[in-house]
Amino acid sequence: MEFRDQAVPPGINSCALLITTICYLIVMLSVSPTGISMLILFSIFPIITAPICGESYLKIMLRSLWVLPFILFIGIFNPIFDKEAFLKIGELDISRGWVTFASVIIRGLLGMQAILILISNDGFLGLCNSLRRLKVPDLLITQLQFVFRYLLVMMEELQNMRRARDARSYGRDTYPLKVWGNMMGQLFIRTVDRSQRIHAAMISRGFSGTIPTYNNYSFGWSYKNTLYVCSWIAVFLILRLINIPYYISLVTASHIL
Amino acid sequence: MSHHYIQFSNVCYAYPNGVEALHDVSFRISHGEKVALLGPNGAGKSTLILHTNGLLLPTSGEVNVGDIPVEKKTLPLIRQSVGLVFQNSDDQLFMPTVEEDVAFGPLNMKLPEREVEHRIDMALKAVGCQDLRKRAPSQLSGGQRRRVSIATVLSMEPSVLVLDEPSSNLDWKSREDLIRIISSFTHTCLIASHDVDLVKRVCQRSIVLKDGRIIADRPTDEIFTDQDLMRELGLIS
Repeated sequence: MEFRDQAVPPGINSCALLITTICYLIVMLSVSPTGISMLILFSIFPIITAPICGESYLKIMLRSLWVLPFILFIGIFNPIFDKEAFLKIGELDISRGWVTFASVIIRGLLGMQAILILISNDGFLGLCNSLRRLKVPDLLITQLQFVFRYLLVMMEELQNMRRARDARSYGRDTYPLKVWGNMMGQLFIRTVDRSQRIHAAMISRGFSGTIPTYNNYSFGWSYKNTLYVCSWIAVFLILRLINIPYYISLVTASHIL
Repeated sequence: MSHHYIQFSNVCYAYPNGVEALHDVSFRISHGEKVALLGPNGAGKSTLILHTNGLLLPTSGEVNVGDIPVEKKTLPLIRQSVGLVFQNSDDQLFMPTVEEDVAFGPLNMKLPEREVEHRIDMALKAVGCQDLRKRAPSQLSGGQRRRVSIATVLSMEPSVLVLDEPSSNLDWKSREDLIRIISSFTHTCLIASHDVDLVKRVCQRSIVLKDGRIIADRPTDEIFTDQDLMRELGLIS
């Protein structure tokens, strides 16, 4: 995970970005399950915030597709169980289930994009620092940090095992289930082993249950942060409370007529 | 009260699975001494090293760091006094940046931020890694990682430094740099190593372990001229 010396955008600290993201998620997730056009307007937040934070939106969008299988799994049963006709496009009847399925996908991707921007801004540990400053209990933050840390450890171990296997596979791509089973077992044992060594290294340097934070950059809250948070909250409320797609359709219809 | 020596008195240790790793181990390392811990794989070197920092506590016998016995209630003090550098730097470096890793110990000691800042500067300077401060450990070379690992314990200003295989997997230049750095320390040092050259250049005294027992504890020059002992250790055929 890339680490940056200071939070971007300049003058806006990670806490402000975290608060904005939390508000975004709450407001965006409160949109009705069939309000797809309203949800699409909420993509304005990641589209604007990504470049401000020095990331390309396309990159963030492509990265968010990693979670698509999980989102599909969550929503896939909607079209099966909810077959009530909801809208008609030409001759095609679309059930409420398909609409809510699309809504789940949009929500999932937008939520993931907002979180990716937040993490890319200050790293996962930076995010944990922000949570700590917002007075989230230490125990919860330490758990989050450990989950993140040991996930990386597991990935490293998996990479080492894959390398060792590939080095002796003579170009073979597929393996019987038994090999995968053995690898999973080995991965678990190696990860636990490695975790114990890292834990020993932490304890030997005085770790007593809370990962301490060290930041030598200013984390002060300025009027810019207040302005940033308030502006975005106003935008979210406008998007949520005013039915903009309806007015757009009215304007479009009057032009056509 | 001096914390600068380590004393093992009749230390025995058995792992929970019953394997006896240390048998009646006794020695004393005086203030400022640099001592090598030699022995074949499985001799008990790592087990002994873990006792110096209280990561393992003896089944019987006693370990003292200065006047402080190593026991549960003294562990915070012991861990401040004994800096332990692990064999694998990847296990030692677990924070996202070098400076955060070096700050980890001092912050756990609840030092004020200004003092932590000073300790980071001092430790990174001692190992010649000031320019790596903002880098992620994963972006460092093997030699740099090893030096930063040492900095992570130096920042706690320990009285005793314990290094487990400090020169393993290092190229010639990194190894030379490391030997120069370790030689410059005035700390009491215990170094577990298979690197004969490093031991000869850095340590005046060597302790030889085999099957969890001390079989020799003499000046390094004497150890390496003892043909029978070298043969027993498998260093010559």
